This record gives sequence, C-alpha cells and structure tokens, in this order.
Amino acid sequence: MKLHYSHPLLVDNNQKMKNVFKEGAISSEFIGESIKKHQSKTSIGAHNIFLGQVRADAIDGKMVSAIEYSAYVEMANQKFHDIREAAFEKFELSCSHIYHSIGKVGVGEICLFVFVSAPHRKVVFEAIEFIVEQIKKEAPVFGKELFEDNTHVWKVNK
Amino acid sequence: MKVKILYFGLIEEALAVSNEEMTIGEQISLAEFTTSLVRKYPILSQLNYQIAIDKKLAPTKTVLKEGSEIALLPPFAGG
Repeated sequence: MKLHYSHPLLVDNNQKMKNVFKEGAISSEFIGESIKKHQSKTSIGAHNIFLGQVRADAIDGKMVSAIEYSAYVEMANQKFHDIREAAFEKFELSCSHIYHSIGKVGVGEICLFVFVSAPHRKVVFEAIEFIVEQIKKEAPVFGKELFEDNTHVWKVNK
Repeated sequence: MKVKILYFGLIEEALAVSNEEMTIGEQISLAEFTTSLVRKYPILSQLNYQIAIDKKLAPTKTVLKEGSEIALLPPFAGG
C-alpha cells in the first residue's frame, strides 16, 4: 500500500510505520510537489501548511549558523503517527502529513513541514496548531545549535 | 537479565556513550535502576531528562524486563 495518502479509514494498522524524517533541509521543491500531489483529491477544499525555519538566534553574542537535529527515531515516528491519529479524531481532515529534518539544517532553511487538508477551511487552522504544538511538546527530537566558531549549545523548546 | 540503554543529545554528549547493554537483577524498578545509573555517571544528577521504556515515557515505578530498551531523553527541541 502506498503510504502517501493517509485517511484513517484507509490505514492498515499493520503497515510499516511511516518515516517522518528527511535528511537535511526540506526543499521548497518538495513542498511544492506535495501540494501538486493533492490536486487529484477533489473533495479537498482547504489546505493549511506550517513551515518551521531555522532562525539565526544570537546566543551570548554568537550567531547560530545551523541546527543539527538528532532523534530517537523509532519513538519519534510512533509519536508522529499518534499525533496524526489524534488530529484525525479531533478534526474532520482529508489528510495530514508531517516531515521533519534530521541532520544539519542551515539558518533560513526549512526543518519542519506540516500539511493538513480538509473539505472546509475552519478545521485546518485548528488542526495545524494542534499538530505543531504536539510535535514541539512530545516528539523526542533533539537540536544542537551550531555557531560559526564550531561551538554549540543544545536547543530546548519553550 | 540484560537491558539496553540508549542516550540521546546532550546526555549522549555528556556521558560520551550512545548506547550500552547492562546486566541487572530481576524485579528492578526504573527508579532503582536510575539510582544505580547516576552512581555510574554522577553527572546525570545535574542534567534534565525523561526516561522512556520500549519507546514510551515510563513512570519510575515501572519494573524492568529482560530486553527492556531504556532511553534517556534530554529536553525536546523538534520543530
């Protein structure tokens, strides 16, 4: 079964857990392609997209140049799966997708791509916020903020 | 019995180890296990972490089993 389309009624629970992680930055081409793939799903009337971008934070007078993400991949994929399932239960969605970077992502590049679609617009605003907040709070993903002088600090979500 | 311990992010860096296997006694709770782990790695007492057993956050009273995968997870930074 192709894993791309993931309405809960069509998901076989025995299927292999979807891998949310993408090595490095998420390209604008990939995001554009994802939008294009949904044009054949004509019951959809509204999409909403959240893009997390690596910010050039100043910490103790030094500028962050990149974040290197690592994760407890198996647990994180299970958690992302659970978050999507919870979103389908709470909101009337047609589909939802999450992609998160692993490895090094430079400032200005995209590290998180959340994409939700529904027949009507109202739920997509709520659903995207729900999913993003859950990811920040619950996904075992770790980030090392790298500075240009090769030092680093560990990022903590607020 | 044997258990597997995984260390991530800042914890992995501080301990300079990413995973290891340990032999422990039967009927050991996560709380007891953590106490012995802090004895082995005293720096853990200064660090912030949650613990997952077999990929789920676990209460400290959980009793460990043969082959349990115990993961020390520093604060999350996804997104």
